[in-house]
Amino acid sequence: MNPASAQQLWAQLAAAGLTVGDMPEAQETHTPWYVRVMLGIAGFIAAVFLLGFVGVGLAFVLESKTASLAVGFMMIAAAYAVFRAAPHSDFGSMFALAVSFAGQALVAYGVWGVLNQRGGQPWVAIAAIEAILALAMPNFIHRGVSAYAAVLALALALASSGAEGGHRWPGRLGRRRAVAERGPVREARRRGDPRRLRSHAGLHPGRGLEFHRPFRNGDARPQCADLGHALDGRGACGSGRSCSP
Amino acid sequence: MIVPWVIIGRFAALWILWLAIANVAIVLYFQVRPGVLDIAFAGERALWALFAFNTAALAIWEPAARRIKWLDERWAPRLLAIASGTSITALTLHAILDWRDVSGMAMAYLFYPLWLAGAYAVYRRFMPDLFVLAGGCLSVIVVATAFLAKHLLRGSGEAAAFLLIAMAVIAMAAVCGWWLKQVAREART
Repeated sequence: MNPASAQQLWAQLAAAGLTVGDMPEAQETHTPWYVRVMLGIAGFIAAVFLLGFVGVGLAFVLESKTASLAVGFMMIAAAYAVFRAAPHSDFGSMFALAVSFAGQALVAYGVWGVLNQRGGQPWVAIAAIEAILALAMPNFIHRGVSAYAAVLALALALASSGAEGGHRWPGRLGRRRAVAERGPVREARRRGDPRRLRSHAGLHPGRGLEFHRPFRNGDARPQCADLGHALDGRGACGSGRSCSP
Repeated sequence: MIVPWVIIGRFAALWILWLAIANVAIVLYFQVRPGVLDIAFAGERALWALFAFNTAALAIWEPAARRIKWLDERWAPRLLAIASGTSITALTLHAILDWRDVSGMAMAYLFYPLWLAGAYAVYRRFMPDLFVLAGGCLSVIVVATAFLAKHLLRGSGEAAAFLLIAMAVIAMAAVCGWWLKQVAREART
């Protein structure tokens, strides 16, 4: 129905007493989901090239984690301002989307550098930021992508903190995981450390998630005090094992 | 072996299942028999075979769906259009980024515009379908971006090239979004 005939119909309905007041404004055009997905993918592509621009042209930003965080948050704030200022502009929305995606990548890079990478802290921080963006950003595509990113980051946070429970890693990941988990058991057997052996073998499921975290290269050695070993006169472990005094 | 079941089933999803199995068979055939000349072009030949097969299936499905009621499901030809468009887009990207195979490059440069023009003519004029048009737009954006990246990201001035390409992608996406909204509005009125 064109606007003129709609106006005519409204006038007829008003004359018949079925409606009152002015005709409501035409609603914003409903955009199908596949058009939104297409625009979202294009936004990602543009964000990759914007990040390339930052990486090559503004290399000092990537050299400092704090600068990455600051510039990333500024880009997200700029995108929010553009979304607010020009909600119906196609170019403005696309530009803001790309700038925000690039800003989020910079923030994630900064968070990853600032926080401890071994635990789940960076993923928790990223999940929190994405959840806030999913709630605050006045753009449907952005909110959808941020919500997905928040859930994904939260899942990775849980997995990296050892809360994956009975999850089986598929294919090659599973084999790598199995090799990684076999290592500490052998190490515990070699040291004759029954407590660590039991914990890595999963015999203490009720004693906390930490017991299921696989022993990785670079982890701190077990403390003598925790294992009940006495220290000798030189401050070394009296048990003769390779634990930390 | 499932062909008789698919024929007597008279069900669009069964035909899509059969087409999916045929796609897998094509890919596996080219993995098992990579070709006498050069194993490097096996992937490209498989893509050409997939493109030809899915485009032919789409060209048969659309007119058949007008006559046969149980074939008239929009999601099925859309899946075929995705398969066909993805194949020719991948082949065009291959032609842009890897120029060693001159004949393959010429074929991709010939068939890609033909496929785009055909998709526009059919899904804009004869049977409007915004889904396929949106896929075509995304394909154009990806191919144009690859072309720009291939020719601009070399030597000095990389930073400016990155920014220029990002702006070009944003502009293309904005124009495509505006055009698709116009088409959607026309379709409603």
